[in-house]
Amino acid sequence: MTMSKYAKTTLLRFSLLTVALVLPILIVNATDPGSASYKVIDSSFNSVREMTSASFGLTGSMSQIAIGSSTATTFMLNSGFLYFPKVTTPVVTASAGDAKVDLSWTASEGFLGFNIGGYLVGQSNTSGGPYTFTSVGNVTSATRSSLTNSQPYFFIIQAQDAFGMVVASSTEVSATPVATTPVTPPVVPPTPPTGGGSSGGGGGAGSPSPAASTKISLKGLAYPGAKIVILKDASIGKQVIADSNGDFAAEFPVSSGIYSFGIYALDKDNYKSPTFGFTVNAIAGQSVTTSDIIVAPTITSDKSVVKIGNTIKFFGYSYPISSVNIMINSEKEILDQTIADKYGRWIYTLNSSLLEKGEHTTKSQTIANKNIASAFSSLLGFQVGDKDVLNTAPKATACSAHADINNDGKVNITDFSILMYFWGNTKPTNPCADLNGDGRVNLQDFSIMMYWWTGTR
Amino acid sequence: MININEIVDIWHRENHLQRFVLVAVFSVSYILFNLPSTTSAQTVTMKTAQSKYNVGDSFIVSLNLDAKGKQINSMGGSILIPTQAFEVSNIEIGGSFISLWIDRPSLENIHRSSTSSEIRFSGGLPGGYSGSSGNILSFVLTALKHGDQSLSVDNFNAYINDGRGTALSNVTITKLRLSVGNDDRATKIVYKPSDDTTSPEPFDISLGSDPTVTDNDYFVSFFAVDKGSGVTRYEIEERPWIISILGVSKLWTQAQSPQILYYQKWISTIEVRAFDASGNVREESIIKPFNIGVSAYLLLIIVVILFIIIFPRVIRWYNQTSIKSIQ
Repeated sequence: MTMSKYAKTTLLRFSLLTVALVLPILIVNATDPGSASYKVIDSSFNSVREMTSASFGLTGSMSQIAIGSSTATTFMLNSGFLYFPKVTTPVVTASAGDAKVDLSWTASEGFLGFNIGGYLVGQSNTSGGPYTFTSVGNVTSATRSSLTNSQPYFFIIQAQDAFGMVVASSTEVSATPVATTPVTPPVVPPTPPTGGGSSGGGGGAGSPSPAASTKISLKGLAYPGAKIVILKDASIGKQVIADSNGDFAAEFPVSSGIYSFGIYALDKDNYKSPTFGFTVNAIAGQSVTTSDIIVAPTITSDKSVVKIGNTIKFFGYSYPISSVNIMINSEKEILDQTIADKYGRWIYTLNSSLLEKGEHTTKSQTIANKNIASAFSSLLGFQVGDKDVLNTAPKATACSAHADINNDGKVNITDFSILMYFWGNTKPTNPCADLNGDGRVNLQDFSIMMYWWTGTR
Repeated sequence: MININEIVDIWHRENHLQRFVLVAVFSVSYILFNLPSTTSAQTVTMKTAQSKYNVGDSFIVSLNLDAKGKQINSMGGSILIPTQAFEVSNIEIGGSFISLWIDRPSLENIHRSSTSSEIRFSGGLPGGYSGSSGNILSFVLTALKHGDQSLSVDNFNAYINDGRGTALSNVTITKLRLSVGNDDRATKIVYKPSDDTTSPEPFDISLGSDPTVTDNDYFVSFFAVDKGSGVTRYEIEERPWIISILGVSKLWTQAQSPQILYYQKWISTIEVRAFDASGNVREESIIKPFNIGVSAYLLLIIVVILFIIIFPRVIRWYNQTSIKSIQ
């Protein structure tokens, strides 16, 4: 059919209008909506930002406001934003040097579409700020130089998304640069002239100043009474018990070098959290402190199979009085939140009618005070079916679960040795060495073992 | 109804303004539906201080991982170095974030062919590494001939710390391109490693046995970490308690984990030494208990010996007692 002149004109007008309407969406950054007069219509962004406006209206958003401060002379809130921190909080280590401070931090991990584009280092002479921020790119270490020795400095690290918006902020760390003390060589008196059989030399007066000790201090958040296992270079460095507030601390005298740490918790029901790994660069004579290491929550359920329409309870331990994000992966993803009690116990009840029959998974995340977000818990699988099946103790099988090849309750160097013994074998004579059951003992099995590693003691 | 032919018609027959609008609409649509992904891939790179050297220069190259926030707990691969162009004179793992090595890179384990020297490596760490500049290993090269050369990483694979052995996909690996000149007048660059006077870190020795590992024989497992020049070798000594009085023991010999014990039956002191590349040493020990079967066997021998010693005395005493009573 030939297009009429009117139709062509309409097409041109429509095209122009499309370009005019679409282009601003590409240009306007909706996560920084400060404006003298501002209207957000049908936005789908989730963020924590300070929204300040003389007057603005918020219409047709997709979820409710949970965190952030919004001030306006006049504004109308029709609905809000459900805030789920989508990235983990960086854990920062500050090592003081001569007129400098070396900073390193764990990388923030993004979820639900958030990806980290870079980091900002905030520096202040005063605890609590205000901070002066410097962009350092998508790296996990930075050095602040030209500092004044003996003066304390305070730092925070902010993670940015790909559009440069801040999506997570660490807690504050501090360090005081110190001048490097040169080691005083021993003063050897001059050899007296020989004669009469006397011996010269010896008796060196003075000795080198004792070197300051090199140590690494770790502090973190777990669950009250939890057993905290701290791996240092894959061996158990220390085991401590978290106090009634869920806090723990440990100190390690070390020599200089890079140390790989892994921290996991065993809750009161003996469920293990995933191991949180990070590295610390220890400098000779310096004391390095890494704080606010937050252990991911534990998770289990009352049923392995829930009859469709019935409820299933997910529960575990987290930092006391913290928010716990629950994410249920299904065809339709479900996000919700609960609060851990003063003992760190959290419970979430799900109505299975929200899900289809079949297999699903769930995981949880702790949001503690100061808005510190942990990594996610282990992934818990469950099914929605035709009848309830309660969770019972796992049956003893020929191969124990979780990479414990020799079934001694630990995943350690002995299991590693057995894995190495069958390395590269197809269908090994010890089938438990083939952890993923693919018929071959290889790096994938080693990776699974590293996930469940408990240490060598 | 507007169809594509009409649009083509417009393109060919109508004015420039309308063409511009069409281009704008389609461009915007293309941009909207093809916005670049914000996901950035993990990268493996080799770095050295400069890209140009002369024949005879020695320099260090580091293999680094940028995990871009992903917790990576295992990795492996090979570094390929042109044999004719470079000699590998040292390998350093002291600064590596890897705690447990499967294929520990060392000079002794380099696979050499006529075209390339291959440094194989694999290992990992519990909890994983997620930072931006993690050193996997470093190696020292001496330039042998001039020309443009490149070093590459082959067969690299890595796995995420998720308990399921999920492979890391979309890793960007870049070659290291070097230019080697032939300037005799230039001062030779000589790499000097830092002095390492620190012993390896304290380490554990674990005693184990498994029916599938040489018929349930006892073995010891161990691994040590050195923050300087890296652990290069181990030695082991076994001293069984009883028979070592007679001067019987298994003196220091080269060892590797897992090490099947020589004295399977006796209670023994097992000592293991870890040496780093600079010769510093750390020694640890463990007690191996009696084998249960040997315990019972020894108990039987003791009972028999006691019986042999005591029984005649008992008989003598009984006889003496009987004579006295008759008298």
